[in-house]
Order: sequence, then C-alpha cells, then structure tokens
Amino acid sequence: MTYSSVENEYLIALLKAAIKREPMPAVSDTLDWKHLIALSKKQQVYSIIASVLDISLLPKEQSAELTGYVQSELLRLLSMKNELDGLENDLMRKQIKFMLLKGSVIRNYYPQQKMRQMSDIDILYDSSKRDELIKIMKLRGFRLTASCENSDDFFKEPFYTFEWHRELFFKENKFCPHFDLWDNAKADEDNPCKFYVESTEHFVYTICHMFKHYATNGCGVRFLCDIYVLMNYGEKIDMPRAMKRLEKIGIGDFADDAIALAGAVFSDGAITENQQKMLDFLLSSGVYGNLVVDYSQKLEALGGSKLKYIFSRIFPPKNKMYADYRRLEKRPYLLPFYYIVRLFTKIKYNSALAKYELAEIKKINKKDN
Amino acid sequence: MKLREGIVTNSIDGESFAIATGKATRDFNGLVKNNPSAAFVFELLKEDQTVDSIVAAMLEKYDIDESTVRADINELLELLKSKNLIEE
Repeated sequence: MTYSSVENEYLIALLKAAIKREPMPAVSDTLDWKHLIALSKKQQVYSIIASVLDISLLPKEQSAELTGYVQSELLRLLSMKNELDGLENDLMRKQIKFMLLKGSVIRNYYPQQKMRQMSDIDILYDSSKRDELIKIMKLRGFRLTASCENSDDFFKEPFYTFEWHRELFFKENKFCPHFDLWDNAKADEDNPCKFYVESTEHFVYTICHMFKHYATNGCGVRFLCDIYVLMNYGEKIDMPRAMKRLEKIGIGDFADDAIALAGAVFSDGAITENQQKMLDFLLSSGVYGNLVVDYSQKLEALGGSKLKYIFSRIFPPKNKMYADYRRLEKRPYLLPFYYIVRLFTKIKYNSALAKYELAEIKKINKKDN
Repeated sequence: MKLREGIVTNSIDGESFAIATGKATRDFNGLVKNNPSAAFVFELLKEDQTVDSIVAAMLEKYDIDESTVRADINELLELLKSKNLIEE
C-alpha cells in the first residue's frame, strides 16, 4: 500500500487505530497538521480521528479547529437525534411506516456512535403517505427544499436536514438496482411503524450506494470505514448471499475490490494494483466526491457544449421534471409552469451553488480548449 | 424553577448532554455535558423544583451530607441561570 502524502498515510493510520481501539500511531516529523485536519474535514472523518488523537500534540490553531469541528458535530448529532425522536412519535401516530438508512444505521456499530458523522438523516418511508408526511414536517417547522428523483428533502434552521426516500435509487438512472428493504425488515417492539433493515440487504445497499458515488463524482474513505465496521462489528452478514446479489446487480468486481481494500486498510494487508488505484481515488475525493468531476462528466455527455449544458441545467429533461414535481403525473400541461417554478426556487435557494457551477464549467471549457 | 422551554436532554455513547432547541437556541447554542449527578438534576428540572426539593431528591439517591449537596446544587443552579438554561 502506497500513499501520495504523509498526511494521507497518517489519516489512514488514525482511522485504523480509532476504529480498532488501538493507541494513537506515531507521528512523522514531516506531518503537516493543517493539511491533515483539512483532509479529515474533506473526508468527514474528523470525529473518528479526534477519538484517538492526543489533542495536546497539535499546534494551537489546529487543536482549536479540530475541537470546534467535533463539538459542533456533537451538538448537531444530539439535536438531530432529539428531532428524530419527536418525528418517530409523529410517524407512529399517523401510522406511517419508516426505516432508518445509511449513517443512522451504521453509526450504531462504530466503537462510539459520535464517531460517525452524518450530514443528514436518511429515511425510507411508505410513500403512499407522502402528503401526510409533508404536513408533519411542515408542522415541525421544516421547509421542503427539494423533491428529488427518489426523495423529498427537508430543512430546518440551523442545521436539521432530513431526506425521506420513496425509493432507494432513481429508476431513470443507468444504475438502479432493485431493492425491497421492507422484505425481511423487523418491526420495532415499541413502535410498530419503525422497521429495521435486514443486515445482509443493508450491506448490499451500502456497497451499491458507494458504487453510485464512486462511478459518478467520486466518494471518500469513510465508505471503507463503514464497510469494515459493518463486516466486523455489525449484525451477521450472509456474505455468499451478499456477493451473489452484488454480482447479479453487476458490480461484483467493484464489491470484491472495495471489501478487500477495507480489510487490507484496517489490517495492513497487501492490495492489488486495482485496489491501490481505488484507494488513491478515495483519498483524492471528498466524502461524496468532487462536484467538478460531476460537472465534467455531464458536460462530456453533452459533447462538451457549454451552451447545451447550461440549457439542460435550466430546463432538465421531462422525466427529471416529472420525478421532481410529482403533480405533473396527473397534470402534464403544467410542465412549462413548473420550469418557471424550478428556476425561481433555484435562484432563491441555490444561487451560490449555481454561480460556483458556472464558474467551474467555464474553467473546464478553458482547459479543454 | 425549571428548565426553559426548548432545553432538552439526550445521551449518546453513555454520556448525558443538555442542548437547546427551537427558540431557546437564541440564548444558548452550546451543549452541556453532564456527569451522572448533574444529569439527575436536569431530569428533576423538567418539572418545577425548589432548591429544597432538589436537595431532598439528591439525599435520597446519593449517600452524601446535606451541606455539601446544598452547596453543589446552589453552584450548579447559579451556573444554569447564568447560561439561561433555567427559569424561575
């Protein structure tokens, strides 16, 4: 296993020590703490490394920075947990079936729950009750920020973000494996509307989720931590069944590499050339990759035309509009109206991101020309 | 006295915390990490309490002398008042 920088190598050593509850690894004289903390932020693993780092060894500025990140994250986690407790009661009262996904499930298997950062809470729910769910969220002070292809995203100040998934993957995308997580899901003893995902299907879903990001705009090393934690500290996974499912989905080789790499990273094992490439890519990406890679891929798919790109971003294809604005299924004649609604919504809430995207697209064109 | 509206307790990894939610975040936006006895006091403060009622509950739960517990409770309550976490 090789690393392109001392900080990359030390980050991996810290993740391993934290997750395996080992002592803090020795620090290289050439380590740049500022770079390491920035890297841990980009990968959203600072709460993991903080659990093993001796903060007193860090320069004052980085020590304060890391402490600030970790405390803010803890406050966010506790606040979100509190909000979720209230929501679970509302869902039970309205008889809406739901199931926690991703980080909310995986963090239970980390040595400490607070180690696993989460930018939002993902929940799969019975989408036939969508209108009731929207009412509940609005009553709790949330704003529906986006109705994405397969989820409804809600936000409440200062940091509460909930993604309610109708489906796990968007059926119009190239990569859309079929899951029925309700099958074999176990109901909670106290809340009959709360379900727990079956461990093997959840593991398969985690690998698919990683692949979705890896194959588009990239993803980070936290996925390796999740895989290791699920395989070693989680509920028993039927690995032959999981691998059979992943092969059927068409990502058997990717899964083999990701699982082998996670094992090697946490046990200092040897890796293949492909796995080394995967590790390099994960270390160079942010937790959910790099937006610029995503923009470049979309631009390339449109033959590199900047004009076509901008047009497609302002006026996305009809199927995306139908997925985002479900009312269109019954009232297709409202499509032009919803293009205007979408435009104004994006200007109101996403103008900073749109400006960033335009600036990056401009750079990509310059570079290509 | 009792906890202000919006001050809630929660725990993670076996540690107890108090945080502000809703409008209470305007006055307090940090978190309080409680040891077991402070967590017990926070639980009591979810209902209206006096210094005497808290001291009585503490004496029932812990094997300590009254003057020590009264001094500790007064100190804690002063701190909570200064942080806008409790109201009379």
